[in-house]
Amino acid sequence: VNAEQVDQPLWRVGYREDPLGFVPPELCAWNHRFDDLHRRFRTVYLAGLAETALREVLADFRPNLSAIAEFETAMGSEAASELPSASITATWREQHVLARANVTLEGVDMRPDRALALAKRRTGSRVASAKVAMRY
Amino acid sequence: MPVLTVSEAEQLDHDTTTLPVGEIAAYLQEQLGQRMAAFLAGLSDVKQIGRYTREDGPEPREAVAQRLRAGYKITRMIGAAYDAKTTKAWLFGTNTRLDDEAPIELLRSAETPEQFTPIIRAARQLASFEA
Repeated sequence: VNAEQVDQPLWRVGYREDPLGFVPPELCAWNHRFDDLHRRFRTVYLAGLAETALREVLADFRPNLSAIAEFETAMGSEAASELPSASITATWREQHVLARANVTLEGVDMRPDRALALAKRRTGSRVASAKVAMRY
Repeated sequence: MPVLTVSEAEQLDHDTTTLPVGEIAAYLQEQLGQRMAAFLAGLSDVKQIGRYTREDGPEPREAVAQRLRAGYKITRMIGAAYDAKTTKAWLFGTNTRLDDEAPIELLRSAETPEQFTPIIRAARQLASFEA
């Protein structure tokens, strides 16, 4: 989160019952950009724009025309009848909601110069820890 | 609470490795359709998948059996969180986690355990609603 974004709402498309919740550690893939290599904490990924959050989760459902063509070539013209009629299904839409999050960084002044000074003072290192509270 | 729970994931791991391959093939045929199940396994003969489901049917070669088991795991995992239609759409999607390849294309040509791992991981991320 950039300092300028703290006062702006953030967005995430997540599971309808807990769209901003963490995935259980046992099910985490731990291979995303900001995931902890040592698996000490989990990360919830949010987008600055609602459209970006949607694009992020819908991207993997873009029909792969090459694979579809190969399927039809290999399995005959009737194979098309086994393909889904829509790439985003009704069930997918039912299971997801677009959630807005207001992020509050407690204990850290996010103005760049002050955040850096505070981080150095508190941790004596290059890393500042911040408690993140989310409301939606 | 995500739909895919830890205990369900463990049960799925167990079933994937222990169920007879005939049952695995039957499940895939029922959920995906005969042609799609055969395509996923890298078979050229559509009817071969049905032969595996028979009690006195042939055993698939090792690579085909592994594809069927990986396909079973993925189909049951996504199917539990969504449904079979969503599973099919995902299998034929342009997957950013798989270098923009369709999962089904990678599955049908996979030969080694290392080749199955990223596909199953991507499916688990969808089923556990991990972005």
